[in-house]
Amino acid sequence: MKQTNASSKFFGKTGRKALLGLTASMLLTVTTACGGFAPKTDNASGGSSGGDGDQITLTMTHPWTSPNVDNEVYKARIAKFEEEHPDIVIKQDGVASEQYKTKLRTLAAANNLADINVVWPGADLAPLVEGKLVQPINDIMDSWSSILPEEALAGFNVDGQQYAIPTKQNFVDIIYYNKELFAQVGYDTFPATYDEFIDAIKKLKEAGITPISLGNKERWPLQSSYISIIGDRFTGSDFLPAVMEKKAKFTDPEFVKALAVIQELSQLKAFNVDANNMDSVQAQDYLIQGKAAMHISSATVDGRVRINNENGDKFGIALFPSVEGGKGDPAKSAGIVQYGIAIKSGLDEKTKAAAEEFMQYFVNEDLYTELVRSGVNVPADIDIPEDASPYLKEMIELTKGGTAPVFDSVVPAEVVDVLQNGLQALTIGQGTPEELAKEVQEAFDNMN
Amino acid sequence: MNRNSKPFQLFAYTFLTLFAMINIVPLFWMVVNSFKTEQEYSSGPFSFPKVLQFENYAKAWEIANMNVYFFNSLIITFFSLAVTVLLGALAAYFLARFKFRLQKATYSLFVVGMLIPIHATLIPIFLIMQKIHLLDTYWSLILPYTAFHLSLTVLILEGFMRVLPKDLEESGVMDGAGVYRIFWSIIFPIARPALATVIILNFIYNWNEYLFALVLITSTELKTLPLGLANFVGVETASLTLQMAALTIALIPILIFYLLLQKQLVNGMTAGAVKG
Amino acid sequence: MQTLKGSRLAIFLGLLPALVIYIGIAIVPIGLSLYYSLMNWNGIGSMTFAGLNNYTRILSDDTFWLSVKNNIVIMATGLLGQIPLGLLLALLLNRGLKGSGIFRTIGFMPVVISSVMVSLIWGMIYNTEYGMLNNLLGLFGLGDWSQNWLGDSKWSMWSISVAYIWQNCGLYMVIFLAALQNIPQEVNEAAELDGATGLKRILSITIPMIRGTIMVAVVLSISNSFRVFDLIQILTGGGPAHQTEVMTIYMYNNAFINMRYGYGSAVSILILLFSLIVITIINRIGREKDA
Repeated sequence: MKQTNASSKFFGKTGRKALLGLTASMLLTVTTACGGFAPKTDNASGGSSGGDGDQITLTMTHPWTSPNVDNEVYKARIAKFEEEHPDIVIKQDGVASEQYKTKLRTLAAANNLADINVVWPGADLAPLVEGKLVQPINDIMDSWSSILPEEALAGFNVDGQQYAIPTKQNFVDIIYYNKELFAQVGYDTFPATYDEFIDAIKKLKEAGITPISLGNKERWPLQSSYISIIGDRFTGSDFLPAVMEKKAKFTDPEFVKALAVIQELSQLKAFNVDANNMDSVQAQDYLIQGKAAMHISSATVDGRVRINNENGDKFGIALFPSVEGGKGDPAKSAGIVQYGIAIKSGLDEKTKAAAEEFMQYFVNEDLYTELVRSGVNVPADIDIPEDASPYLKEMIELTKGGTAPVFDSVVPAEVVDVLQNGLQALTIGQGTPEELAKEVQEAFDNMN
Repeated sequence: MNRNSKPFQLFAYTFLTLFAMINIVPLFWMVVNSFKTEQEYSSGPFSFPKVLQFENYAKAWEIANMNVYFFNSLIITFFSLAVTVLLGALAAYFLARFKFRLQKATYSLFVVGMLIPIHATLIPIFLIMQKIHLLDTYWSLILPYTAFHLSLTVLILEGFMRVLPKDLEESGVMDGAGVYRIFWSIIFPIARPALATVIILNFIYNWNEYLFALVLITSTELKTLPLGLANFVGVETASLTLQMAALTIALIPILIFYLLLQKQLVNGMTAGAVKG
Repeated sequence: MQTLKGSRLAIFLGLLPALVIYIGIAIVPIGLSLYYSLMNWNGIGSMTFAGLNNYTRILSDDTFWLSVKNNIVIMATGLLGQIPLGLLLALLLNRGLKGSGIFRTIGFMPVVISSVMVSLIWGMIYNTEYGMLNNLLGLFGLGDWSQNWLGDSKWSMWSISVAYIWQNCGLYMVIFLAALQNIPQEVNEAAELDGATGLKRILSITIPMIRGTIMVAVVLSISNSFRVFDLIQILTGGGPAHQTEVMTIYMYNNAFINMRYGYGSAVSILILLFSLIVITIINRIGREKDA
């Protein structure tokens, strides 16, 4: 056996003793000193430890980890609550937003939700309600009835029971456009009709400018930011709920026309070539750097495009234009309330009271005002503070014409998945709108 | 050995240099980008920063909560590694040096573990951890990491130990030493190259593991580094330069560890190698 | 083989701790998956017995077979790329050239870094606008060869394969290097006396000497190819339109995104089954040649 010096240091006799000693002592000190090795004493009702004496610990899972403006607002608010309520400790589990839903579902599968959860409305909330994992909060609704309109609450209301209160209003279909590039091809205002829109795209294309930057790697943009609103323009806002009640079908000609728009845009090569392997952030960058004339995404993105950008005034915002013969209202924007705060069901009285107190404190007028001040749209009727960003005021103005439903907030996940993949296929020239509509309808029919 | 002809040397060095470039150049740009502002990066990833943004590293350290997560990752990585290697070595020793009923079956059972799609075990493992009240403790990661890497560990160590000469243990037997004593004072030290191999591989896997850590740990004070590294990406926003800074920081311990063990590693790979 | 006759108790106690952890945390969960695979379950609420329904639905899903095909691409390119390349590098580095140590370290680097980093790196390389690869082609006047490497289904799987080979090649290099160092000097000298030099020696002496190692590397390469996940998930997310989806991604999407947990579990059982079959076949072939 060859024996090098270095090796005997690691595995020689003394080395071995040291290794064993080290491991043993590590075992001892670490297991006794660190809480990390001790099993958690969890009561059957859930993660909360009930509390020694008057101290109550509430667990909370949220997706607010990335350095965003609104995330800072939420975290500051939690800190303030703890400061003012020395008897309640909020134990936070911040999960990166991309994986948040995976985690929430695993916790739900094991019936092990945190005391306070951040949930999405509609199709995402439904299984949690069905599994009786979240607590109705009808008793404490008085706290919000004066500031939250019914539309804001509807997504979290199942059969008359309210399950969560939203913190943020988002519109997913805002068209950000580069005013200079549009002026170059003769458009001083954003096209008001679909025909003009297509005309502008052709002219941009001729001028050697990528008309629309799209980052569809994660697949939701074409579904959420495009089909939600294009569908609404053609079908009107009653369509998706009607499909869910089986009174309409995805194969109805209006919806097929909406899908055909994606095909037409792809055939016109309106998107950047690498649309399917860019993420949405990279696509924003194309717009911001002037490499593309438009980008369609949520209102949140305004922070990056205009509010925190020195050259933000280069960009304008608009809604998708009206379509000929469409049943939808062209003033509408596809909106969704986000970050619903929900309480786990089956908490003991004391913990439940604390959780309700937290909710009432966390989601109130101050939170909404604070969010608006940082440039985030909210679902509540509150006075817009004087110092709010003019860009936000413009956004509020643009989106006040009514709300169209967002596709994936109404339609179940596995049907959404089929649509998203089909839309990607359309962009690479596979399949037709008719076939896709049929597949989506089949996926829905197969669900039950 | 030094009978390499000139043309051969030319070919070898050209090829190796090319290969090294392909490995190093992308990593180099990764590090360069970690010193840029977000705007500099988005306007072109292959330019040099005007000013080196050292504060990216400070910010990254803070956002990824490395004060806490770094320590947790070290504990969990080393602990799983120690448990896996000790138990794996012991199991490999008996599988390689003894004859008993079900020996083949036991060995095959361990090898099957290399084929299990680990994502499928996520929810079952969560439920098991919940049952045995170890959710949200270090154990909830140490146990799965150990379980899943025992396969490779046993495979490599068994392969190494099986081909060791038969008379190796004889002196021990004559001294009247028990089987465990022979393991500890004869087999274990001889197996060091193979041990180094499995140690570095275990370190790499444990240090980078993400999915189990995501689901099984909820307390901030117990989370590991890969979870922190995901903190830079939101749904519609991302801070890529900060993420690259964080990734660079996370790379350092693993590089140090690798460099420390690499001499052993090359020797050690003979290990699984010799067996068929 | 064996030299010692330990008491049964000693053997039992020695194997026990490893077996307990391994069976409890790795085998039992797969057993549970097998159970869930026979159920209709969305992960929340009650489950209902579905028999083999999940399996028949999977096997009649084109997307599943597309993912199987992609797995085969990864497996084949992995085998044909990693193993010869690793072997070539090992042969070169085994010649006592100056600087071998540095090349060895650099060669192993991609194995050490996390998949997140690998994906970020290859995202930068393949980017159509500013990507390293297209820039490089432009530099050599081959701008026409520029491609949408990850987005065009003609290229996407191959592009991913290259990244996959890059990531793992170093591992095989080190494995082979170790095996080569183990060949006794006398064997090479004897070969030289017989007039076997250069390529001929490598083919007729060296390769047969390390056949066992090559087998291990093949098995390792195959089993790894069935588990590839992070790299593709981050590079393309399996898109566009399932074009780069592999079985693990198909399973993850069904179990965790579409909330069909029973269905996803059935996919994972199939993955296990497929990889077992392939490994068994390969082992057979390897053993036949041994005889």
